[in-house]
Amino acid sequence: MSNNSLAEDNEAIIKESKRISKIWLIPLVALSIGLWMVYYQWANQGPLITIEFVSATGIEPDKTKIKTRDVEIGVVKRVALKADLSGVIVSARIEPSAEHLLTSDSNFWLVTPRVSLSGVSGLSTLLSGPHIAMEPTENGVAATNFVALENPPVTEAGTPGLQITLNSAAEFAFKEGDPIIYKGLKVGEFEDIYFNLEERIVYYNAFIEAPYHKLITENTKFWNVSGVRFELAANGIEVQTGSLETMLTNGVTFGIPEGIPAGQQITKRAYFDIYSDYEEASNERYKLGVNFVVLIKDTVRGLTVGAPVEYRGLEIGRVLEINMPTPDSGKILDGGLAIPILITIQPSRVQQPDNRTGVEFVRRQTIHWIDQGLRASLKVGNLLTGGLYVDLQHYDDVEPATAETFLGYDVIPTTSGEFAQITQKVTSVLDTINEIPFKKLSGNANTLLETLNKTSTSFQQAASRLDGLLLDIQDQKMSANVNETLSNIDTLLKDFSEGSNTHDEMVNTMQELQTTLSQLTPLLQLLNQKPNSLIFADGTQPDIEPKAANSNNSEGNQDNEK
Amino acid sequence: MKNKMKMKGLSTCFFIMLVSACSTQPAVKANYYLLNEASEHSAMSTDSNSKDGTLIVLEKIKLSGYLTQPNIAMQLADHQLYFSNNHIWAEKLEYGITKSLLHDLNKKSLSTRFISKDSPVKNQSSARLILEVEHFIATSNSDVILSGQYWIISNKDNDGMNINIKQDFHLSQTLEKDGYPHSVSKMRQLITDLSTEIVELSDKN
Repeated sequence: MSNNSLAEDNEAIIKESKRISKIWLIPLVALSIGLWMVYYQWANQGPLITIEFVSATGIEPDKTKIKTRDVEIGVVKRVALKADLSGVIVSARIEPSAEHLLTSDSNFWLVTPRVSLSGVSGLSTLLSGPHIAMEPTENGVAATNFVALENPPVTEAGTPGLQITLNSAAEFAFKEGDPIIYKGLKVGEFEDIYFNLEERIVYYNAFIEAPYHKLITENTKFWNVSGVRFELAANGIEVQTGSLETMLTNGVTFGIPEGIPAGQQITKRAYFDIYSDYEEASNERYKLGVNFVVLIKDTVRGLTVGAPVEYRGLEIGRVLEINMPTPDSGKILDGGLAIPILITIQPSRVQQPDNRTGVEFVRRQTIHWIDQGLRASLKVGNLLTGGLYVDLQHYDDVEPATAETFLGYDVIPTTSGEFAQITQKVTSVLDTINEIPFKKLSGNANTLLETLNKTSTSFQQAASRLDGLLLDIQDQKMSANVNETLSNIDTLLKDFSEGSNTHDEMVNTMQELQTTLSQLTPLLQLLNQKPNSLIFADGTQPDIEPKAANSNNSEGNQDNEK
Repeated sequence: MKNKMKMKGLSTCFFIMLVSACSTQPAVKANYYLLNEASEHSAMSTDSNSKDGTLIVLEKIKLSGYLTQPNIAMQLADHQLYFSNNHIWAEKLEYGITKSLLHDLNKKSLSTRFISKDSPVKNQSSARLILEVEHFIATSNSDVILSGQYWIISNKDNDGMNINIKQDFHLSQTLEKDGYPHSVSKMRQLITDLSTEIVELSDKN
């Protein structure tokens, strides 16, 4: 019984637990940490922006960086084509710290190695690969979609200086990066170009760097200094160059023409014209002028539009038009037709105010001077180039002229041009030459030549005589020398001639020598036959001697037998 | 030491005897001969100076080559000569012939005077005598011969005489004694014979 009760007592009581095990806290904590991390990542990531490029050359997702001032602020995440295939959309994640830099005025461009006449840039990307550069700005509103620049901006944002706009209707053109020169220094650059189709004028936005932007004032003029400029004008040959850079590319320079006040400094964007040269820029101040017509009967070859009009050597105006169209233009081939030249006399060049008052004064004064003998003529300004200019001079001996007008312009009477004057002078010189009695002169010259001929013949004869005389003298001298030499030789020969002491001595010597040789002959013969005969006995046979007739036969036979 | 001394003495005596033996060769004296005698000069001078006839200059004596040797030659065979070693002409044979011939010519000629080419009156000569001697030698046949030719040519600028003679001669004398002295005397006699022939010929012309 007791055992049963114990067993009953030890039976486990099973109760359903309503509590969740604490062990589940671990995965919950891990999950919450993960969620927090995801949220943190999502909450702290920068904005995703899109930049539109023409092409995606060198851009790779997760590799190509976005930098500003060489500080990494983002990375490219995706590269995709635009739907219309007109470009590439690059998506990039920007650091949150740089989010405030993303405004509608921010510029993006791709940094790659570039080589141009203006310089070399982006060489560092040769090794690191291209990156996208951003030009930060605080202007504009926040934006996430951008269009990249094709080329890097010439001037970085925030650079101190002055933005100006230049315009030109002339035939020359500039491109981005072309320099702006001031006294040989590069002080600015062309940034971008805009062509106004309606005005047909090219506008250039340019930037003048500090501190040179202080040079830009109200009266500052800009003119072209591209390349080397040769000008063959009435004043001669002019060669104009800017810096070495502008000789290779294009460029403009600026300045304030002499005699003009500088005016107020420009602080905001202003518009300026680009003139073709300094002369044109300088002449721009002469705004008003009095137009006159000069009717030229001589040739106008060498006269150009813009050629100076001078009064007693002072430039007071310029030529506006040559052979201006008239209703009678068809009669240009008629004989004696004068060519109308339109000139302008500028009041400000003759110390008159540049206004209506000055214009009226110049007109009245000119007409007054015409009555007093003022005449116009074409003169050669430069003999080398043949450039002509219009010269106004007072002449005392001219016929009085009546006031005329031509197409509404007052006409300044002309006098014969310089060519005509030269022709007249040449004609008079030729007339003078014609009057010279050449026949008489030639007769005199012939007589003179004959006389000269005779003189030369006489001189030749005298010279030949002198030559003969000199030869005689020379011969005499030579013969004297020969005689002296012969006498010397004679003396020498006498010393050796027969009967002389020298001859006798020589003969005696030779005879003694001969005698000695004769005495030596037997000895020499003996030695020749037997060299040792001086010491040893001579073994030769005794001399053969002639024999008498009676003993010849017997002894001769004996000799033969021997 | 003593033996060595003895050997040295004996060697010296032997050398002296050997050398003295060499000197025992009997000395052979050379004999010198003149073609013309010593007594001829005075006769020639006296005779030549006394004549006032034609003047002929003995211009040239041309000897055969073997006769220019000082040794007296002897003909052993037709084409064999022997020159004596000990019998020598005392002067050139040309001189001896010249002197002897001039002497004999002047002695024999009565009208013509012969002079040497060295004579100071050479320019006054009217003709020239030129002698060419081919042989003048003793032979093994015991005779002495003299052969050759001579010319007598008148000078162009001389109007007195105009002769042009060319004559060959061959004279000989028999030897009567042995030896060279007799041979020389016979040679001298041949010169006399030649002069006789020349004088006769010149006197004819």
